[in-house]
Amino acid sequence: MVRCDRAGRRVAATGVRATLWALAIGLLFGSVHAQQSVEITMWFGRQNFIPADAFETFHRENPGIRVKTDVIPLEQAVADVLRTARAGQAPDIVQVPADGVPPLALQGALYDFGPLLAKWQAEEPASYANLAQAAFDFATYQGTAHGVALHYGPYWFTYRIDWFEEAGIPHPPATWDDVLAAGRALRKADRIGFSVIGSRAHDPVWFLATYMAMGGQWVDGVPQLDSDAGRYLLGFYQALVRDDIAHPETLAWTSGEMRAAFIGGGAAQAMIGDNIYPTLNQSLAYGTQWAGSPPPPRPGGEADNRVMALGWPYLVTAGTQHPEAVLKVLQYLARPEIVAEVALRYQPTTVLPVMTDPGYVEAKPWAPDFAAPFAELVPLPSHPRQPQIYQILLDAMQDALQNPNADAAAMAARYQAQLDELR
Amino acid sequence: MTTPLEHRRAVRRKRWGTALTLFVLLGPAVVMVIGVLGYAVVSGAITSLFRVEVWTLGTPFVGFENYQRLFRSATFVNSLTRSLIFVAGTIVLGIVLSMGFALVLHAVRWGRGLFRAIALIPYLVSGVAAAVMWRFLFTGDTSLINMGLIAAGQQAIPWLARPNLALVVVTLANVWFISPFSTLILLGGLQGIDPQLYEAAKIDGARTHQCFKHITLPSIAPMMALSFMWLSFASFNMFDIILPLTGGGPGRATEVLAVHMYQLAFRDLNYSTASAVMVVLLVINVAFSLAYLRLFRPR
Repeated sequence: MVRCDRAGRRVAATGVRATLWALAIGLLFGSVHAQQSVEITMWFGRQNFIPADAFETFHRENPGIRVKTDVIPLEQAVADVLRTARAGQAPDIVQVPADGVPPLALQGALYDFGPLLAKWQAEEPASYANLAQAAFDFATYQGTAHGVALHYGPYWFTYRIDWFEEAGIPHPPATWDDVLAAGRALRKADRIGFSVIGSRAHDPVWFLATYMAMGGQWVDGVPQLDSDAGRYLLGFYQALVRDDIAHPETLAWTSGEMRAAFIGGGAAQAMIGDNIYPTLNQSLAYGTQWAGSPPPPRPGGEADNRVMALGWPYLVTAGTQHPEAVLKVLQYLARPEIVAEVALRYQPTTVLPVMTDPGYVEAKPWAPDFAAPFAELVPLPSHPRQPQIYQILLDAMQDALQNPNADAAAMAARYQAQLDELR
Repeated sequence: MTTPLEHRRAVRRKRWGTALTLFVLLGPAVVMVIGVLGYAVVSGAITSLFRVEVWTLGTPFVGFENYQRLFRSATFVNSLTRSLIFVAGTIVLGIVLSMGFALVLHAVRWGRGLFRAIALIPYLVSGVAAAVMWRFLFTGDTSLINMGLIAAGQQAIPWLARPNLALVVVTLANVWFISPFSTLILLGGLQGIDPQLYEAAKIDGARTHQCFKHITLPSIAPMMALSFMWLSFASFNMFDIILPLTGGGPGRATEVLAVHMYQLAFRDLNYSTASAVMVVLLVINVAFSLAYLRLFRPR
């Protein structure tokens, strides 16, 4: 009995000792691992921007860096970064719409990424040279780079090539006057001449893309509605309603209705984002039923015609403790084979060689036709008070749609006065 | 035999015991309300006295400047006006429908439980889903309402593209969404009325409308106050139906205060002005509630 007790005690003591050793070894290795492993938190603005391999290759190549991803919608990313930054919990990299860069930079929430971009250029010149200028422009505020934009998206003027040819109308239209004329000629009882968003459901980026194509200018990030281009733009929207070119419910139309009208064969013309073309091509055949082109100029504004693009840059936050690791993550995302996969199924990329890659061209047969304009895309200028600018522009757009016979010049002057108060 | 002193002590102990039980039972709810809602309201009220805007550095104390700016802003005045129209429309229509439904549900004998459950369904649907449904009802030539109009030889109406019609649609959607709860409140009140009151009135020769006026309405006055309060609260704070249904448009025809507050806070990132709108909403809600309680005070 005594012997049994002793043996039992010995077993128990051995068990305790073994547990303590295991704990000590675990703690030691755990702490060594923690010292070696760097965690980079990255917020993507949409699930679709996350590469399909979910950083698997990156983790294999960089065993000391773990990338933890989360999806914070683009619309709320700016507010969430500011809030988490105050609590010292901001992610290392965040994706925001390009118009979110000024407020974040003003609040000191962003890291000066310039020196690391220089390092990128020095260490991987080929990868750096692949990037379009817009990749840097979208992530720069007042001369300071805060990251890089690997995806951007323009709106192309899109039209029913079969209907144009059937009606003997030259295409693509040379000016916005021609767009209106084609809209009047092509509308029928069951189809409209031009599909356009008129509601307040979205930021007025389609409106601004049209404005920029018409030669619209910005001063200190504020659009100049009280200009030839601005007055022409408001007049264009008025004509869409006045001449029954747009749908009677345009004022309530969101992007869904606008796109559905064109994709469903109910509209002759529209401004459609490049990312929607794969969906469009599933319903209509490129080249025979639909075609696209850079948005035309306004008559007399040919010299100022530009194609606007939206960008969704990856920004490095001021609180990051591991800028070198962040650089590696961004370099990884910019690799053609990684970014091409995202560009194929979602938004086009600023990594230009991808756009002419045979696999990309095979999947997007329209891509070669847009290669030249892609190289010249102009970022939408932004202002720290961009959301308020958007609200005023929505007011102006809806005013034009509601009052098709009002004086466009007076309207432009009225809204310009409101815009100027924000400067 | 207990002495009067002992009796008084026993009564006092019982009273203390009852009070303590009440506090213990209410405690968690009070802590939750103060912790979750109270903090946000106080923090919001304090924020409204500072300038907290994402495009400026620092958060200087500005006193009531945010409120002054707010009441000078045409957009805010428009939102306030639209809110009052929207709430008035909802209350009038909502209370009539709720009372009607409550009376029917109270009177119905067969399938009472089923009908009550059905009446509650709109309240159980999420606001966004309800908005999408109402959008399908009113947008496009293939919407149910427009198809009905076309079938009747009329022209389709662009409901959500006309400012006043859009406000009507938004009000109807709101009534559909929030009335079931006020129906439930009124039904609770109706079920609490002693049936003998009606029998006695009938014996005295009272007619149905007289019974309704002199028995039903006074008996459910506290529930009426609650219903009015619910319809007002829910309408002034309504946001989840309006944003997906109209986005506040066309123009700013349906941009009620709650939507305006959302735009300021989460689109403009102008937190201090949005907080000022929150305080204004709170004051309006409290004022309306006090008015209802006074109006329906038992006499």
